[in-house]
Amino acid sequence: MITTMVIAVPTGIKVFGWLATIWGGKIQLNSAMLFAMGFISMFVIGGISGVMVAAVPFDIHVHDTYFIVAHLHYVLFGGSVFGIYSAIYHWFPKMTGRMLNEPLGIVHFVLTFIGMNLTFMPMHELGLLGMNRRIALYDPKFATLNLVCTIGTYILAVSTLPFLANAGWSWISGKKAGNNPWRALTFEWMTTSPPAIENFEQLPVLTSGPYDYGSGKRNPQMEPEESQSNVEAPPGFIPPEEARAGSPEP
Amino acid sequence: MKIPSNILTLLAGVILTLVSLWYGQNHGLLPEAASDEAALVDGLFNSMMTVSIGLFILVQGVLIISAIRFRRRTGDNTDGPPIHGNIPLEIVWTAIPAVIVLIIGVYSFDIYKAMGGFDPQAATDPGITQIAMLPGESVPGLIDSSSPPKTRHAHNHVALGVGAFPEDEGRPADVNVDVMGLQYAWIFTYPDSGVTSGELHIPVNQEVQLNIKAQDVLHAFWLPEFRLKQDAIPGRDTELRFVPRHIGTYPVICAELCGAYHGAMNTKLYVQSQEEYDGWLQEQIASLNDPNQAIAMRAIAPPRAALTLNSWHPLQAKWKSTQPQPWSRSTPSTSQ
Repeated sequence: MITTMVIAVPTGIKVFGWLATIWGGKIQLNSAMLFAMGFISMFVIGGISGVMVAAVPFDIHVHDTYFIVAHLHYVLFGGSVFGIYSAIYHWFPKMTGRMLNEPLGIVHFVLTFIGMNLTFMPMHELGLLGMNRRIALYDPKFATLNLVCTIGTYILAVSTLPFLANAGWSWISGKKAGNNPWRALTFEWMTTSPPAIENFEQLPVLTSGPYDYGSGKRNPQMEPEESQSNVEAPPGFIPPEEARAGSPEP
Repeated sequence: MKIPSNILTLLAGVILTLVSLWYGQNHGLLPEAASDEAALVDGLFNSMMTVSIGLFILVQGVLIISAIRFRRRTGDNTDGPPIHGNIPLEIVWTAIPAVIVLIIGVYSFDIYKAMGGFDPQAATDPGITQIAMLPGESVPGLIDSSSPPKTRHAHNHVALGVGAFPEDEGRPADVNVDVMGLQYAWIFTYPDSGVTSGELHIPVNQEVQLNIKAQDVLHAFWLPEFRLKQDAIPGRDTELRFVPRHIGTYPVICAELCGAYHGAMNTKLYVQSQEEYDGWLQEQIASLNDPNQAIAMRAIAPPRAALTLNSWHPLQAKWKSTQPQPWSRSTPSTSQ
C-alpha cells in the first residue's frame, strides 16, 4: 500500500519542478505551451486519484469501477496525449520546415481540453456511485452522467479535425519556420528545418547550455536568420570553416 | 494600494486550507453509507479528498497565475531571469508529499484493520492445493480439494475478504449466508434453514457473514453502499462480514468481467427489520416444502451449469430432490 503510494513523491517533485520552471519565466502561450500546461493540469488529477486508488480500503470500493477508468485516462490521455500534442506543435517546424497555424492549434487545444474533462471527469462520480467497468448495460440512474461522457467523446473526436487539417495544410503551405522559430537553446535548433542529410552543413559550435535562458550567453548560431546579421560574434569565436581552413596542412 | 506578496501568499494559503477542509467534508460524491465499514472508508476518502483538493487548487492556481502573470508581452523578446536551484524549496516539495503519503498509508492500514481486513479467522481458505492436472484426470478431483475442513487454520492460510471487527474476532456472526456466483446470477443459501434465494435479505444491525464461492468463473460481489467488494473465486472460499445500519434496498453488482452478460449480473440486497426478515424467512421455508411452488432458483441458473457439475454444491442436490419435473420444462432465460 505505502510502496505503491510512494510513487507520488517523485511524481510530486516532477510536477513542482515544472511549476517552478514556468513561475517567473516569460511564457509564450502558443499551442505547444498550452498543451504542455494542460498536460500538467490533467496529470495532477490522475496522480491524486492514483494515491486514492493505492489506499486499499478505498480501493475495495472503487476497484473495477468507472473511477479506475477515469483515473487511468487522466494519467494516460492527460499524461501522454497532451504531451504528444505539445511535442508535435513544438517540433513540427523542425520536422517539416513549416510552422503550424496558431489559431487552429488553440482551437484544437480548447476542444481537446473541454472534451477530455467532459468525458472523463464524470466517470469518477459514476464509479463512486456504483457503476462497474467493462459493461454495456448499466442502471438507468447513471444515464445522465453517461450522456455527459458521450457528449465529451464527440467533442474529443471533433477536436482532432482542426489538428489534422492544420497539419496537412501547414505541411504544404504553412509559414516557413527557419532554423529556430522558438529561439530555443537546444542543439537541434542550430540546423536547418527540416535537418539536412547528416544534420549539419557545418560543424556546430556550442557556446551556451540548453538551460542558459536569461544568462545573456545566447549562441549567435541559434538566433533566427533575420536577427542573425545584427549579432556580433563573441570574442574568440572562430567560424568553423575558418578554423578548419586555418589549421596547418598535415 | 500595494499589498506585500508574503501577506497575499499567507492569505491564499489560509483560503486554500479552509476550502479544502470544507470540500473534504461536503463533496457529496459518495452514495449512502449503509454499514459501519462504509463509514470508516468514507472517513478515509474524506481525508484524502481534503488533501487532494488543496493540492489540486495549488497546482492549477500556480498554472493559471503563471499563464497570466508571466506570459510574454508582444514585442518582448528577452528571457526571464536565470534561476539555478533552490535547495530549501526542493527539500520542502520532497518532504511534504512524502509525509502526506506516509500519513495516508498508515491511516489506510488503520482503517483496513478496523474494518476487519486482517481478521485471521476470515475465510478458512487453505490456498491452492492442486495446481496441475494430468490428462484424463477428472475435474471433480480439482473441485474436491476446494472444500477444506472448516477447522483448518494452517500458517499458509490466506485470508480473503473482510472479516470481523477486531473486537469481534473469533465470535461467529449473527447471520450466515452462503453466496454462490455463477454466470449470470448470485444465489444465496441460508445454511441454518436451507432457504435459497436469488435476492439477499438480511436483518438490520446484525453482524452478517457472507461466505462467497464461484461456480464457474471469477466474479466479484460488490455492495456499493457498503463499500465492500470481494472476488468470488472458483475453488476458493472468500468472505465478507459487515453490519448493515440502514433499512433499505441496495444493489448487488458483479464487478469482475465474467462473460457476455456480466453487465446484467445484478440483484438486490434487502436490509429489513428483524420482524420483516423473520417473516420473509418463514415464507421461504414454507415454500421450500411445497413442491408446486416454483423456486426462483430454477429459472435463474442455466441447466447447463447444473448438469456439468454433478451436485457438487449442496444447493444443487437439494434442487434436484425438490424438483420432480425434468429440466427441459424450465426455460432458463426468464430470470426476473
